[in-house]
Amino acid sequence: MDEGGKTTRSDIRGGVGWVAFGLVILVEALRMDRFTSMGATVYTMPGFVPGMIGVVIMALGLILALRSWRRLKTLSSPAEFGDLAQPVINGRIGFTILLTLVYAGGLIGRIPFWLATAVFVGAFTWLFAPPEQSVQRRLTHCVLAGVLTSAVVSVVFQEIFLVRLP
Amino acid sequence: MFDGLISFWQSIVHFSTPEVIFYALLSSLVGVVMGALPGLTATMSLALMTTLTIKLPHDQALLILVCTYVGAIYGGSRSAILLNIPGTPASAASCLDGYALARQGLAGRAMGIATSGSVLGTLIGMFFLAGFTPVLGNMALKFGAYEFFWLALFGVIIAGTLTGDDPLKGWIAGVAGLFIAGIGQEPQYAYERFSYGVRDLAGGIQLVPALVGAFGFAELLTAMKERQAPVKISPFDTVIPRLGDITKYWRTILRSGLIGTGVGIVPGVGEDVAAWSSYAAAKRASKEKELYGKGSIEGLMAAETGDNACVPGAMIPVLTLAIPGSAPAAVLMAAMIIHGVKPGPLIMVESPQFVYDIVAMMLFATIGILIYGLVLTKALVQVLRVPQHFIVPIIFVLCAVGSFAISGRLFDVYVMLVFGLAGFFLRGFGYPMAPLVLGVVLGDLLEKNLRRALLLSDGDLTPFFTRPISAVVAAMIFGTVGWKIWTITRSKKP
Repeated sequence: MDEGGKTTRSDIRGGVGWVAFGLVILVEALRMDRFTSMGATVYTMPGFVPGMIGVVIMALGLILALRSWRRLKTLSSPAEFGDLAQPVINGRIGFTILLTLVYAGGLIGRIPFWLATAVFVGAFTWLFAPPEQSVQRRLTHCVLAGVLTSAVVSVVFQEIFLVRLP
Repeated sequence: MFDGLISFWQSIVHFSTPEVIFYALLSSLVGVVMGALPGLTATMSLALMTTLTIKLPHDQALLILVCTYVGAIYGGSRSAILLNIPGTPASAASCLDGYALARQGLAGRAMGIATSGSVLGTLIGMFFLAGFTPVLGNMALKFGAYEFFWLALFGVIIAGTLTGDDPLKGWIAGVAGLFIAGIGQEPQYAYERFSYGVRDLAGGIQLVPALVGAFGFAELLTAMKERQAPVKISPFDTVIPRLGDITKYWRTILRSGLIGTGVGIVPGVGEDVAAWSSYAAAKRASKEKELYGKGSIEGLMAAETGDNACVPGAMIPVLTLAIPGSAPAAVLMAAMIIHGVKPGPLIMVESPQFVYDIVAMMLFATIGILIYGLVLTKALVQVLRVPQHFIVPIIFVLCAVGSFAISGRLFDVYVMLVFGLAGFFLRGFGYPMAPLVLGVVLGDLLEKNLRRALLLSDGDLTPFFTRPISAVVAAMIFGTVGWKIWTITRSKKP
């Protein structure tokens, strides 16, 4: 069980979200073709299992929300049930997500793989290098890391593992 | 008995070529290194290696994966002992006494204990893998759609119950995994579900890019949350295991090996539970309970024997039932399917030699970790000093290229990104990833067998509860869920 009231509020929101998600699945399952003209019974209809999954997700989401709501009521002061949990995302995570999305979602497939990889690895190494490091040292590290990673990954995948690169 | 030994020997001979031995040693090394690096788990290592070995012949590819698996579980102990950071979740129990021993200046001895425990644990597990698989395989031939439906559900429920802090969130993750498995064309009428006209979704979500995202990308994001502090590695002397430690604690080794293998057989549980269960059992039976947590050799031995014995144990349900015993075993099972091997009840009929091939692969992996444990530890621990900002981008490049390599589609890279981000945020809110993966892996098995069973019984639910094995598994599922829901609804603890 989670400790204290750290995630109580986010669990209520999460529970409501799961109920909504389950409802969407259920509605979509009910809208699926039933193939009755081909002799399908209720058990062989494409929406049968997804519909059941939707119902189960709704039920579990409801239990999660109700449990968290009950816990919230037992907490005495607002400070106790404030969102005390560590934020899921911070600046480092934000920049990591940004760089990885730009690389895998934008650069790969649009510019040569070796260039995309060198740019990504170089930029990542530069951005997350220790701040006390001198600019010259940081630049050397980022160029070396980018070029070496790009070359080694390209050669190893294409020549040894015989894998086509994006 | 003798047929099994002969088959095992034939497998060893088959793999005893310089090329294969090189692959075995190299992949064990990769496993040890990846396992030792905090943030890189066995599941992630296997998912990445699956993509790298996609073009190799199936026996060589699976040998590499098995050696990586065993190596990674063992490798986690290095950082647990030297840094007090478990390299993989399986090594968390080893931190308690391993790091305490290191602080007493006994890091080398602790690593020797980890090596001997891991080697003996794997050997005990291998013994049961070779002995139990044919028996269980023959039993599984009698299983019908009802039993397979319950077993698939059991895997998801048990993984949800045991792998996270909150069973409710574990079940939600597992059921979400079942939903993901249902995306794309359904098996009976080829009707496209939840694909909304996206052509790439019609074939469903490929398992490996999803796993690389959920375990690779998501773990990298988690590792990046905080800036890595400069690594201070405890100095250590000899890492050669002492015979006295093994003979003195032989009961603990045997017990932990049995517990680890047993936990491995239970679908969806995994190495971390095996390590903690072995540790707890050893502490209960110990004459030196007061040393536990303060540098107990017995405690470290129990944890390391238990988690490595779980690896062969987790392969038993994979081979006989096509139901993975742990998250890394789920990846291994996916790799088997990609390489054209069909795990499941028919394996002892169609390719009985394959079971002994897996046992032989485990033996090669064990030799690999023994060699690295004895002679390369000082060199290997240097990898722990490599700064995070060099390792993370390289691993992410491998995640992206590996996802693309499976089918040569950029769509799979996007799948990896989506699963990575979703996995990271879900994990941040306390939803474990192992049940989700089990759900994705077992979704197809569950749906096919549920629909088949209902067709056979014409909608009658009675056979689900009256067939002996079905009744037992159903009782276990309802008992677990009922009891947990009762405790959840009764609990007012904030």
